[in-house]
Amino acid sequence: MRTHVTTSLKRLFGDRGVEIDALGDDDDLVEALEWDSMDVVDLGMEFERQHDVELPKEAASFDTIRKLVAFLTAR
Amino acid sequence: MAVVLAGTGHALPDTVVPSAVVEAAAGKPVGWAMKRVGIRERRACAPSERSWHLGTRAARAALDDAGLSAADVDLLLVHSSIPELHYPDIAWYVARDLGTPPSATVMGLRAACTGFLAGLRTAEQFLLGGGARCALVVCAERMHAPMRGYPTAAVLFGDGAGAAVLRRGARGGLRSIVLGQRADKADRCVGANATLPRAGWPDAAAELPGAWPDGPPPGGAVSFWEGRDIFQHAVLCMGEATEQALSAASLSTGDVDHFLFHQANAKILKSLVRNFSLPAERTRTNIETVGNISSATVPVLLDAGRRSGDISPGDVVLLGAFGAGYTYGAAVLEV
Repeated sequence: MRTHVTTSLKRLFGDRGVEIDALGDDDDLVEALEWDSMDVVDLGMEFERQHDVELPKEAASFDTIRKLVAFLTAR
Repeated sequence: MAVVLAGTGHALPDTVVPSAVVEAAAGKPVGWAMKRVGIRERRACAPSERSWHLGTRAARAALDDAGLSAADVDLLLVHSSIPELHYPDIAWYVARDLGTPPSATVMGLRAACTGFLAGLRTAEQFLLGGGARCALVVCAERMHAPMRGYPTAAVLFGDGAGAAVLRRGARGGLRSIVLGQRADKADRCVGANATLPRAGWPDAAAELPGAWPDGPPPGGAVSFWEGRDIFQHAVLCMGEATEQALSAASLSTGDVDHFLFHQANAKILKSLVRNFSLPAERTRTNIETVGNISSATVPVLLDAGRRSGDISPGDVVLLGAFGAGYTYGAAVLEV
């Protein structure tokens, strides 16, 4: 499952011009990528659509790859 | 019987406000607006210029395009999201300056950024019902100056007007139109002028911690947005309305030559295209040079596309919008 989630995230980040392997698991996404909260919302929406899941509101506050993978893997 | 497009027009103020100017006022670094929301510059009215001046110019251009005059108009619908006047509506100033005949029905509309679609829908009903033969829909917005009290908002908004002439025809024209609302979200995006008391809204504000990005509002005015919620619903509502409008017209995305969406933020548009698998190469944009001009966005895009030759007679155009309310909609129009 973790591999599936990681692969999916790689694709989602790749579509946005981001090489996920260049990010550390604990890097702050907004800071490292110079994103804003709208970029995080956009990422979450596409993940929901691709996997037919609904992320809780707090998902928008996931700020690292580690937290994101842990949450999605648990689901 | 169909409702067909007879002409379009638009008008923008002469003054160009580069993002660097408003970024400085908002305490943002140079390049912030282009990077965050896709806006390089916007147009702003001169101090003496009003929304109805722009609206009248756009209306005249649309009538010229249709080969008609103000005397031919028997229905004038004017929309402005934040008109300068409480009464009369600016529709009567457009009618006065345009010279529409006394027998013409004149109305002001309020439907935020979906104002053009609301105008099309209303005109359609008049035309098909026999209440009008020539309808003129005008969207006139003077957004930039009123937003200066909210520096971040002033970065987003510009001024402009768009207009369309509609008549009855044999076929083509307006193939479908869908309007919807999520009024349960009405307090997620609120603005008021400084003359109104805050009664009723502090509670809503308290429910939205952090929703005052520029600090306490000046002069009793209220303006706040729940950005994440707006972003999500803008994408989902415009996407779903697009699918509904296409279905109602028995068409698919492949049948559409141009997608013209309201643009509050270039990221919303990108997300909409990505999430609903729309063709980016057929999605026209103008946010980089005009910013968010509310209800005028779509008719300005439509007219600019027609005048440049990018949108040709017979092309199928999908119009979509989302705005405060929440209000949303989409229409399929054969130009």
